[in-house]
Amino acid sequence: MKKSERKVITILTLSLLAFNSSQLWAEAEQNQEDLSGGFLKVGLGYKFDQNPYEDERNGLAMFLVGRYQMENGLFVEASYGANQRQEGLNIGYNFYNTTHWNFDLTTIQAFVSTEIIANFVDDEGILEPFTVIDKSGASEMLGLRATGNFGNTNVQFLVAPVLLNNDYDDGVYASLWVGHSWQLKNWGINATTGIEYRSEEILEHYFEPSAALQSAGVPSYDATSGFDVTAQVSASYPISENILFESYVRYTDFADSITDSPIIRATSQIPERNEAKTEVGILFSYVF
Amino acid sequence: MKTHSKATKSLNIFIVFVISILSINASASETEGVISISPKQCIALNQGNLCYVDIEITWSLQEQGNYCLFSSQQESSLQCWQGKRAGDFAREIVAKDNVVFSLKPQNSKIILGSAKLEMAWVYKKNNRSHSTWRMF
Repeated sequence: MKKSERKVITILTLSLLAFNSSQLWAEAEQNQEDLSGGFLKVGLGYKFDQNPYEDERNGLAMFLVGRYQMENGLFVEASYGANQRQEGLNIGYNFYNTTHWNFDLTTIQAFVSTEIIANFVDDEGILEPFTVIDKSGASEMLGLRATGNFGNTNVQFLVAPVLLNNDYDDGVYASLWVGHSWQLKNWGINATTGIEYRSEEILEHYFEPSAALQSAGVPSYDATSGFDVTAQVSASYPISENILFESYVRYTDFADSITDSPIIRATSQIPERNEAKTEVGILFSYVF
Repeated sequence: MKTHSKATKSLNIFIVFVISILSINASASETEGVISISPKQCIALNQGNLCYVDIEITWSLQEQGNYCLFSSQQESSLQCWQGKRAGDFAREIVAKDNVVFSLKPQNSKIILGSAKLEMAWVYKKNNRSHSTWRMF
C-alpha cells in the first residue's frame, strides 16, 4: 500500500471514530453549546529564552493565545510566543464531552519549523555561517486528544499518528500533560509538567546530518525516538476584567536522541545557546 | 541604529500599555450619595473563585445620630457609630457574589444609603476555552 493511501485511510478512520463516537455517546454527552465560545489573549512583556536552536533572546516580546469553539464542535486554537505550549495554529473537532473529559480530533504541530545556523571554519580558516538544519516546514500532524478536568487538576493525553504534510514518512507524536492550579488571594498559581514522545521518523528528519554536512566532516548519526520533559510554573494576577499580569518559568530537557545529535552537540556549545531550553517571561496580557 | 529605533518604538508601546492599565485601575474609586465604596469591583481570575479585596467605605449624613453599617454577607452589623454624621470603615472582603453594604439608623430597618461591591472575573466559568488550555 502506498504511503499516501495509508495516510488517507488513517485520516478517514480517525474522523469516522470521532464522528461515530459523537453519535453513539450522544445521550451521555455534555451539551456541546455550553462549550462554545472562546477567548483571545494578547500579551506584551519581557522574555528570556535560551535553547540550542537560536541565540539567547532577552527583551521585549509579544505573546498570543486564543481559542474559539463553535456550537457544532469545530474549534481553532492559536499559540504564538506564548507562555504555554507554542503550537502555532491548529484546528479540530470536539466530538465528545463528559462532566470531566473533552475528546477532540485535532491538528498539532509535533515539531516547529527549524533552522539552525552555526559558524564553521572553512578550508581557508575563515569562519563561515552555515545552515546545519533547514527544515522550514513544521510537522503538522493529526491526532486524538483527551483532556480531563478534575477540580484544580487537568490532564491531557494526545496521540498523533498522521503527518499532514508529506515531508517524510508518518511518525508518531504523543504527549501527556498534568497541571495543577492554586489560588493565593487573587493570584492564580499553576504548575504544569509534560512529557512528549516523538518517533524515530520525526527526529531523523530534523536531527540527522544532511549529506552536505557529512561531506563537510560532520559524523553520520542515526536518531532514535525520544522523550522531551517540560516543567513550568506560572502566576497570573487579574488587574481588571480584561488585563492580567503574568509571569512564568519553563524548562525543557530534550530527548537524548536530540542532544546526542552531532548538530546539537556542536550548536549547544555556541555562546548564548544551551542544550536545554529555559524560558522566563513577565508580561501584561489583554484578554478579549 | 535601525535596531535602536525599533527597540525605542517597542518600549513606547509598552509604556502606553502600562499607563492605560494604571488609568483603568484609578477610575474605580469614585464616590456617590450617602455611602461610597472604594474600589467598587473585586476581580478574580476565574468566575466562581473567591475574590479578595480591601475595601474602604465612607458615609456622611446631614443629621448626627446612631448609625450602623450592614453587609449582605451577614445579619449582624459590621460597625455602629454613636452621635456621628460621618464615618469610615475598612476591611478585607472575601466573596464569590456581589456584596451590598447598607447604612441604617441603629435599631431600625430603614436603609439610608447603600453601595455595591461587584464581583468580576477574567475567565468565565463553564467555558472550556481556558480551563483545558490555559493551564498548559
